Amino acid sequence: MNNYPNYHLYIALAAQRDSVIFTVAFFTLIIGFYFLVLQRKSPQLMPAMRLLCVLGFYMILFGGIVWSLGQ
Amino acid sequence: MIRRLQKVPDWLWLILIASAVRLITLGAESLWYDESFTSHLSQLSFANMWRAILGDVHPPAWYIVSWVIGRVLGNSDFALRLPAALLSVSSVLLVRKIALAVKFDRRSAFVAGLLAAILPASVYYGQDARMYPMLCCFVLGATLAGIKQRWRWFTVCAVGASYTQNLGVLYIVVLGSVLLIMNMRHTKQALRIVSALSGVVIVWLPWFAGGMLHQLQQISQGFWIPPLTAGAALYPLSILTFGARLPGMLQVIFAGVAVGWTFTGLIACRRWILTRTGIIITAVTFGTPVLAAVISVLWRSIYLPRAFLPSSLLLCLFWAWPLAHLSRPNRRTLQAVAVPTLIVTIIFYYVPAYARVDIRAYADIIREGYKPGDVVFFPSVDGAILFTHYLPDLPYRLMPESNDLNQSLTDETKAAMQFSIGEFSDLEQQYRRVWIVVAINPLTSVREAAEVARIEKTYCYQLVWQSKQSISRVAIELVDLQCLI
Repeated sequence: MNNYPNYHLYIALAAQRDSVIFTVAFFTLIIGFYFLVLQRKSPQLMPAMRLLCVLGFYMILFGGIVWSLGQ
Repeated sequence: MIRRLQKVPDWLWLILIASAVRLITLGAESLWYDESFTSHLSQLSFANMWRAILGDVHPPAWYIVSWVIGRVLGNSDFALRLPAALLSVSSVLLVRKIALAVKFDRRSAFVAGLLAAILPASVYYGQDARMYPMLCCFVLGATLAGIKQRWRWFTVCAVGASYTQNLGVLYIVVLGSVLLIMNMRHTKQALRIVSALSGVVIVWLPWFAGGMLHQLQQISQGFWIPPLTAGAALYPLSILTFGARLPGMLQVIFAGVAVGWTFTGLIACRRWILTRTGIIITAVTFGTPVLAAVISVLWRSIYLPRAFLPSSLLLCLFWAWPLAHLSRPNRRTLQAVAVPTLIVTIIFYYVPAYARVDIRAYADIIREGYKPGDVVFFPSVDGAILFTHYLPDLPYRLMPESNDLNQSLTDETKAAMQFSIGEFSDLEQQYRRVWIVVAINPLTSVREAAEVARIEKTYCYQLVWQSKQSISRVAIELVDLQCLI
């Protein structure tokens, strides 16, 4: 490994990507379980939560597209 | 007209759609490193190709197919990728067939096939001159044979998978174990499975003893695959569905969609998962990556995301089911997220900025400026493999003891690949100018970086072209051997 002095950069970049993916996956699962519980305990809130979920997704998606195009 | 279109069978639609998205742009992009490696091997004599394979990290099946294709259809980018495209289309049909075999209704089976046909990662590997669509065909074929209890077909497909990609063995271990456990009480059936698996082991053993063990010894000092982390374990879920041809921010968003869609699918399929066929599909889809993750933690990292492409195609079953079987409001919510995600990821797949690096254009820079008395010098193996595919007629030298991008090629493979190897200092006697392809990145060795720095300090050179990114630099330099600094 001494033959590759900058190998740590490769590992660091992969680790950074992996930690972002893990965080996203974690929060997505939290939201998923929240929906499951909500559907059983307070089904009357589900329509509003579905709408919130879809609108939130579109906001993030369009924000992401605009941000990406601006890069 | 519409009535006629409605009469077109589902499977034909899938063939048309899958073929269209794969074949129309099949040869448009340059080959990347692994594909150029396939190309290089397909041009060797069979004996040298075999020697090269023994020092590589993959079994021989794909290289033999490419070798034959190279001789029949030539060595163009389109011809090299054609087997992968056709096998990828076959995989799409197998996904639909499996869906029908596990009692999906026709519409859900079509949606599963459609997802397998259009998901950007599936299209990417269908346009990649590598073995992954072939692995998909064999793994999906073995799964279908296991479900239908066709043990001869199971043996054929399992042997094919183990000779296509070394991680194919994990799929067969998981599939075989599940089939065996589920048929424990039925002695006759269990004996048939044992005999099928024994057949697989007997046919695979020669490769294991003569090839795979040799490969394991050869690459034991390499660092090809980085250590596994929790995030890396989840990475295939997004990279093998929506692909990597996206801006960083969108990759993060769609990673969330991939996890959420899978979670929804698992909840929606919970009853089906517990059926006999559901257990088989679930084990192959999720069990194999989990087994690879466990081995990576306990032994050494073998977690290569693209090897789990068969899992991602079977995941289409879990993604298709909720699109048709959730309650109407939940279904609409999922569709409202899934459809734009698919549209955006497919559009970005065809955006040139996210395509493979255009090696063809860089090679053209050298070709246009080339004069008799020039030579191309590669400080690294990956440069030589990438550029000699597009500059087969130009003289070149590869630096001795050079490395490849990810340390997966042994000295044995390099020798079998018959590179023209020579020191830069020896070029002065024969040539006047040298084109150097410089690629400095975190996987550049000390020797390679030192040689490039020495050349730049010793000789007059012109920077012909350069691309700099955060942690890498690729450049084409033209060195005048008769001008010393």
